[in-house]
Amino acid sequence: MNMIRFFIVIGIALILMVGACKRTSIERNGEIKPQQSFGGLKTSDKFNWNTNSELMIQFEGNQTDPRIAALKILDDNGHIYYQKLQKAKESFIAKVIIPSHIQNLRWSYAGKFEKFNPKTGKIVVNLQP
Amino acid sequence: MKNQRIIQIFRNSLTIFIIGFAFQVYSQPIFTDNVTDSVSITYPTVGASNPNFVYLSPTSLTFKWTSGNGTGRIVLASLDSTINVWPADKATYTANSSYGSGSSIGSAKVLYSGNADSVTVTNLNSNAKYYFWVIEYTTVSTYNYFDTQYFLKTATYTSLPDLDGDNVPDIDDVFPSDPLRAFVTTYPAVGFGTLLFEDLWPGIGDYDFNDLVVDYNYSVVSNGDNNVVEADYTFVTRAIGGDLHNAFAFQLDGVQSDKITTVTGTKTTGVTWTTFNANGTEFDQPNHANIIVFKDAYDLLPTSGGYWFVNVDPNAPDVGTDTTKIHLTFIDNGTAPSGGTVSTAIMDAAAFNPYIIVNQQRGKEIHLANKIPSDKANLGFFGTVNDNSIPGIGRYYKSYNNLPWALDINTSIPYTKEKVDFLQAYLNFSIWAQSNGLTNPDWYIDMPGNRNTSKLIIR
Repeated sequence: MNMIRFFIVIGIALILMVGACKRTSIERNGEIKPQQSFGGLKTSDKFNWNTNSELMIQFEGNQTDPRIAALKILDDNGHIYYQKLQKAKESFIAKVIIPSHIQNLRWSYAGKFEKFNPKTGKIVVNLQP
Repeated sequence: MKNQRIIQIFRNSLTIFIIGFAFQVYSQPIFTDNVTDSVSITYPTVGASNPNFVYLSPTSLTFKWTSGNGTGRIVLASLDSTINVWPADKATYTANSSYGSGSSIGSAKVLYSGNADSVTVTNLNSNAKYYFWVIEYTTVSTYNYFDTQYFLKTATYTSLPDLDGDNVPDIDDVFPSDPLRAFVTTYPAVGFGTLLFEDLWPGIGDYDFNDLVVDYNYSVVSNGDNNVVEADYTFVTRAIGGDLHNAFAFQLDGVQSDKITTVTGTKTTGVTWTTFNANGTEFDQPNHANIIVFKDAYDLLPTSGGYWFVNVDPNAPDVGTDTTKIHLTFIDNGTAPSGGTVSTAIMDAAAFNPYIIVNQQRGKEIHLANKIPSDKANLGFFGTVNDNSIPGIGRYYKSYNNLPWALDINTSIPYTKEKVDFLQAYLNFSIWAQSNGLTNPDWYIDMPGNRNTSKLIIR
C-alpha cells in the first residue's frame, strides 16, 4: 500500500514537472522559443545598433560668391543622401546620416563636385578652385 | 625712328620718370612723346575701391565702386581668368557693357570707359566666375594714360537660372515651375528599409526579430526656405511572428503636432485606446508629433491555413504584404499651420522614430535602441525585467547586456523564419555587433558569406 502511495506521489510530481517544463518552453500560444545566441552578444554601452553612420559636413562660405544652390551628398548612382539650399557666402555645419556600407560619396554644389570617402567621418566643402 | 625709342620707367613714390630718346630727365611726371612735343602727365594716385555687385539676373549684374582720383577709369572683365595684358597708354579701346562686345585686352573685355562709378553688365554666362578690374587713368590731349600701381581688382560669380523665383536654381529644383516646392529627399535614399521588432519587452524574446516586420520609405518635400512642405510615408507590413496584436506608429522627434496641417492614410478605424487631434496626429502628445500608422497588424495580415503567425513559416500560405501610405501636409498651398514651419534640419533622418504599441496597450511602446519614447509611454516599464533604460542619461530600450528590442536596417532585407535566432541567418551580424559596428558594417547586404538563406524567408 505504501509502495502504491509512493508511486502515485512520484507520478503526480512527474506530471507536474513535465507541465512546468512545458509552460517554460512554450510561450504565447505555442510560439516555441529557440535557444538564444543573440542574447549572448556583448557590446559597448555606446553601441546603438544603427546601420547608418554620421557624417559631419563643414561648408566654408565665400563672401564674394553670391550664388545660391543646392548642396547635395550623392553616391555614384546619383542617389541623394542629403540636400539643402545653401548660400555660397554662408558657412554652416551639418550632420548627415548615411548608410554604413556606402564606400564612395561626392558632394556637389552649382555644378562643382568632389568625391570623398565617408569613412573619414567629416568633409570640408570649399568652393575655391 | 619715332617708334624706336628706348623708354625706361622708374617708379619713385608717386612720380614716374620717363626718359625719352632725348634722354632728358624731369623733376615732375613727364611723358615725352617726341623731341618737339613734350606733355606733362600727373598719374592718378588713388585707385578705385569698395567693389559692390547687384545681381540682376543669371546673366547680368551692376558693378559699382568708389572712384579714385583719375580723370576717368576703364573697367575690364575676364571670364575665369585673371588679367594677363595691361591696357596701353594712348591706345584707343572701345567699351561695351555687353560682355564680349567691347575691345579685348588679352583675355579681358573692355566694359566701360568714363568717369562714372558703376556699370551694368549684360551677356554674361550664368554660374560663372568673372574677374573685374577698375583702372584709373589720366586723360591728356585725348589720350588716356593708365595707372598701373593703383587699381581695383575683384571677382564674383554670376547666379544660376531660377524660373519660378524660389531662389532654387532650376538645375537643383525638382519643381522648377512651382515656387512652393523645390526638393524631394527620400529615406532611405534607395528602396526601402526594414524594421524588425521583438515584442516581449521588457522581457527578453527569442531574438528572431520577426514579431513584426515592416518595410518603410518616406520622402520629404521641401521648399526654397529649406522648410518641409509635405511628406509621404510608405509602410509595407511583411510578417507577424508573434501573437500579440501590436499597433505600429512613428514619432517625429522635435516636430510638434501643431506644425502639421493634416495627416491622411492611417489605418486606425476603431481605435479605442487613444484619440486624435483634428489634424490627425495623436492627441495629448505635447512634445513630438505621433502618427499611428495602423492599430493592429493582424487587421492587415490575417492568419491563414491554421497557422498562428503570418509569413514566418515557409510551409504556411503566403499571405502577401500590406501597404499603408500616409501623407503629411505641413505647409498647405503656401500657408503654414498654427505651429509654424519645420526646417529640414529638424526633420532629418534622425527625427524618424518608429515604434510598436505592444498589444495596443498604449503605454507599452518598443522603440529602436536609444530612441526616445512618446509622451504616452508608461515610464514604469523602464528598468523592469530585462530592460535597462535610464532616461536620465538618454539610454532607452536596451537590456542589461545592451541588447535592443528593435532593429532598423537601411535597406530591405529578408527576415528570419520563426524560431530561428537572428545570428543563424545573418552570419556576420555578431561580428558587427561585438565590434560596436566597426567590422562588417555591410553584414545585411546580400553578399557571399553574409547570409544563411536557409534560415530566411525570401519572397
